[in-house]
Amino acid sequence: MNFEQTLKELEEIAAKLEHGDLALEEALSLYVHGVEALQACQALLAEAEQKVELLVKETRKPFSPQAPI
Amino acid sequence: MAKPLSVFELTSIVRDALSIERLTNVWVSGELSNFKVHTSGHCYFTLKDERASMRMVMWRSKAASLTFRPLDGMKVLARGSISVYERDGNYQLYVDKLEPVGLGSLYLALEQLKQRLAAEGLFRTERKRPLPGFPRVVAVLTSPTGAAVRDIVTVMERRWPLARVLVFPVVVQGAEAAPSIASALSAVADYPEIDVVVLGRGGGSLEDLWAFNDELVVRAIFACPVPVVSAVGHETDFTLADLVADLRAPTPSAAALSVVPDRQEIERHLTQLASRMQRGIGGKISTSRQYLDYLSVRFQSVSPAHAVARKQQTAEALLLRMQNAVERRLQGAGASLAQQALRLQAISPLNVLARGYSVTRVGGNVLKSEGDVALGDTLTTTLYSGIVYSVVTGKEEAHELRADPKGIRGNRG
Repeated sequence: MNFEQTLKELEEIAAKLEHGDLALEEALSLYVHGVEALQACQALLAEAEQKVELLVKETRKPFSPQAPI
Repeated sequence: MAKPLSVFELTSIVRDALSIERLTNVWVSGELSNFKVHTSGHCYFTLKDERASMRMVMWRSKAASLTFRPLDGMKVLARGSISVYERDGNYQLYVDKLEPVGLGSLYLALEQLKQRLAAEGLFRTERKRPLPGFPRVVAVLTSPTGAAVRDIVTVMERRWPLARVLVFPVVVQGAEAAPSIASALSAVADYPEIDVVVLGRGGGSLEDLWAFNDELVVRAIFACPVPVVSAVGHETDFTLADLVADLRAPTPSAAALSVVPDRQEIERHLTQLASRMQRGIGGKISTSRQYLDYLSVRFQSVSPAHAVARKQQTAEALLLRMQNAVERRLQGAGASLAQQALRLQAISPLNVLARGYSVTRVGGNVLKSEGDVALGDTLTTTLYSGIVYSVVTGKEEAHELRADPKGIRGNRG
C-alpha cells in the first residue's frame, strides 16, 4: 500500500463527506472506504520499522550506522 | 671484461645508489600534469617545471589524506622519497604528502568554475525540483563510517520509519572523493525506487569539503534523476554542490528532517481526518432522518385515510357547533322563562298570602280602610289556604300601623 496515495484518498473522502452533495448510500459507502483507508494508514505507521541497507558492489546489505564498517 | 650484470642487478645497484639521505623525505615543488587516480585508489602523476619532469606515485593509503583534488596545471608541493621502479627501469618519487601551493589560485579556479556553471544555468532556482512529500526510498550518499550517516538514520527512524534508507558509501575527502561521489550519484539512476537523495558529510574545513566544489560532482547532482539535498555541513561557506542541489540543508540532520514528513504530525492529521469524516457522515445521517420525517408527515397528509379523518373532523365540528347553538338557545329560553316565572311569582297575591297576609273584602270590594265598614258587616277574608267569614264587631283608626316601620317607640307624636 502506498501511504501517500491512501492519505490523499482519505483527504478527498473527508472533503466529500463534509461538503459533497451525496446520496446517503453513497456517503455511507464512502465513509466505510474512508475508515478502511484510515486504519490502513494508522497500521502502516504503527508497524513501520525503518530498513537501512548499505549498497556494497551493487548488492544490498542490512546496515546499522552505529557499528563502523 | 667483467661478467655482464643482469638488467635487474644493474637496476638494483642504481636503486641502492639512490637510497641516500638527500633523496629521502625531500620536498619538491612543481606543476601537476597527467594526474590519474587508478581504480585501486593509487595516484599516478608527473611533476614538472620548465626544464624537467619526474614521475610520481602516491599510494591509496597516503592519497586518502589529500585535502584537495589535484588537477593538472596546479602548482603543488610534494614530499616523498626517490626510488626505482624496477620493472620500467625508471625512478620516481613516492609521495606521502601533497599540498597545493597558494590556495589563492584554487579559489580563483573555483570562482571561475562557479561563473561558468552559473552561465550554463546549473544553479537556476527555477530548476530546483520540489521534494517528494512521502519518500519511500531515501538514498544517502555519504561515508558509511562518519557521524553524518548516523545522524541521518537516527532522524529518519524517529520521524518517518516508513521510508527505506539506502546508503551509498562514498569517499567524502581526498582525491578519490569527487569521482566516488559522482559515480554514486550516477548510480542512483539504476535504482528507480529512489525518491530523493541526501548527499552529505558532517563539517570539516573548507579544504575538506573541496570535493563538493568539483565540477564532476556538480554536474552529477545536476544530472541526478531525483531531487538532491546537499548537507555538506558548513554553515557559512556554500559549496558548488550546495548551489546546484535542489535543497541545501545546513547539517545532515537538517537534511533528514527536510526529506521526510513528521510521523506525529501525520498522526494528528489522521485524527483530524477521522473526526471530519465522522462529522460528515453524522450530518448526512441526521439530515436524511429529518428529510424522512418530513416526507412521512407529507405522506400522511396526502393519504386517503387522512382525507377521511379530516372530513370526519369537519363533521364532528359541525355537529358540535349545532349542539352548542341549540343548547345556547334552549338555555336562553329557559333562563327567560325562569325570570318571567320569578317576576310573576314576586307579584302573585298567592305569594303574599303565603307569607301570612290576607285580603279582606266587603261586598266585593277590598277593604282598605276601617271607614269602609260598618258594625255588623260581614267580611270575607281570603287566606292562603282558604276563606274566613267574619262579622265586624268594632273598629278603630290605626295609628301605629301606618307609622314608619323603622320608627322607634316614643318617637311618635
